[in-house]
Amino acid sequence: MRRLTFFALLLMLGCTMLTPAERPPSPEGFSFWCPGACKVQVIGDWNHWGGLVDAGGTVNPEVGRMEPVGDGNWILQVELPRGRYRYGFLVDGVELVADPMNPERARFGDWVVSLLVVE
Amino acid sequence: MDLVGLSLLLALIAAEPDSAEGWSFDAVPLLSAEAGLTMVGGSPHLDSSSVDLECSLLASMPKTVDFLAVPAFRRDSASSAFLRRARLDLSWPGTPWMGGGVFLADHQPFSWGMSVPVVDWYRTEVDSLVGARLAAGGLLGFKASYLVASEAEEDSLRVTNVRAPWLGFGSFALESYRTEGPGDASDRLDVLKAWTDLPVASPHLIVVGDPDRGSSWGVIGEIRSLRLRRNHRVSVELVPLIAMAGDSLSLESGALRPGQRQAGGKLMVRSTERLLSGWLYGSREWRTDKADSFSVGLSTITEASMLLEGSLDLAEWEDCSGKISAIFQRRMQQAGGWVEIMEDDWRVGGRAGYSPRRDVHARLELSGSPSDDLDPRGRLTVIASVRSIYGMMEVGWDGDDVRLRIGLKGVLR
Repeated sequence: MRRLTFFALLLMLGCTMLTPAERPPSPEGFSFWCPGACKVQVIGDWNHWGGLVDAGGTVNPEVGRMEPVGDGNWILQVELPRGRYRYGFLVDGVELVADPMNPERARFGDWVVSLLVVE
Repeated sequence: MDLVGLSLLLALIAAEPDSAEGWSFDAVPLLSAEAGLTMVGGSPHLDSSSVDLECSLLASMPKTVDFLAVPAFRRDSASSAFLRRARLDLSWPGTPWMGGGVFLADHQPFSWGMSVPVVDWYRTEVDSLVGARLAAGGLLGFKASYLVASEAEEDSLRVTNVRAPWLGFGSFALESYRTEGPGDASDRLDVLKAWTDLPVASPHLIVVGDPDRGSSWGVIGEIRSLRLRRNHRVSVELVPLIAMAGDSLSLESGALRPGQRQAGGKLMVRSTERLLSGWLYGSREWRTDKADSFSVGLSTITEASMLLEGSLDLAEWEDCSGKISAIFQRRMQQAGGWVEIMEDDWRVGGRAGYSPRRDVHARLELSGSPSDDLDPRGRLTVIASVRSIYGMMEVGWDGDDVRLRIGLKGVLR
């Protein structure tokens, strides 16, 4: 009986830990869940990776800056013409990560980033 | 001279944004300073340091004039004040419209591809690009531009671009890149991109080639919008793809390989109700069965505030790499771990983060290889922000090699 209770508790804990969260209602554009970050930018081919590929090679910390909207969610609305764009989320100016909710991946230099197809 | 340049730059930074009779003016000063130190005999030794201050000066009148000049001051091993980037574009608005301009270290050529660009950034040395550009458009949505520039080592570059982003049934773009060296050396790449909107699917096609060389050609195709299932819970999209290239095609970006004959597909799953996505990619190279590849992955954010990601890549059915990570994240705390497989090696890592305030974040990352030599690596990063200025301090170690990096970056206004 004790084993069964332990197993049931473990199963409940596992289900809670692994159940995907509900998708929050989000407006059109980019959204990223990253609680605890000081700032998040979305940089990609359309904004020259925040200035990284321009002369000087410095990312401007204001380019593609996302807005915190609570519960660790960050959003930014960007209107892009038809085409394909690689992008990533730059967390605190030091870590470039792919969009975990976008299954299309691409490469930018040594980074694995995401691919957006604007149709 | 550099002192005069720096003084002028500081005076420009102090200027306020303004507007007068349709004109708007702005100055965006950007500071970036970095220092890198290594520990030698227990004491820090300065390896590199740099201070870079630039000010983007913008003046524009909507649809008529666009001016940008970026004077910069840089101090690393030497000090210099210089004009980093500039452009002046003039337009005659209306239907049709036309315009033109001159530029320095701007208008870097770029051409997107399917997932790898056809012409990627860094193809040209943007710092040495000087040229002029003409553009026109407005009739049935057509746009055309012609750019001529000189590159490093006296190469000249000519880019012609004609595109119609929306014609009611699809869109197309025709691009031509010609590079000519100091001798007879020349290089040409023509790119045609076509995109059709059909009721059930959207075929996308990219054809590349050098008309002067017979076997320098390539085709990449994808069929988008083939949704196998789409309801209020889940969206499943299948994307068949094909890539073929002639034996002498040479694309620096790697969008196509010489002699490539590849067919494959992507299956992408997105939950529309939950934070869950996954993919399955597979491709077969039928000319040389050496380049088959397979990839599978899953990402989710759980109700327990955990980001779970897993992926596995197989190339040529031999080289296997993959990663599984689980990161628990809350407003103030972050903790998690990952396991990464890389061909013959594998690494295990962990991460912990803490944010005592909204504008301060500290993070510790440690990793090691459970094989013979452990190969420990780690880094401790502290980031703090005040308005638009960000400071970063990072201590990283790789075995006995310890590095310290300090950085400051921000828009000074």
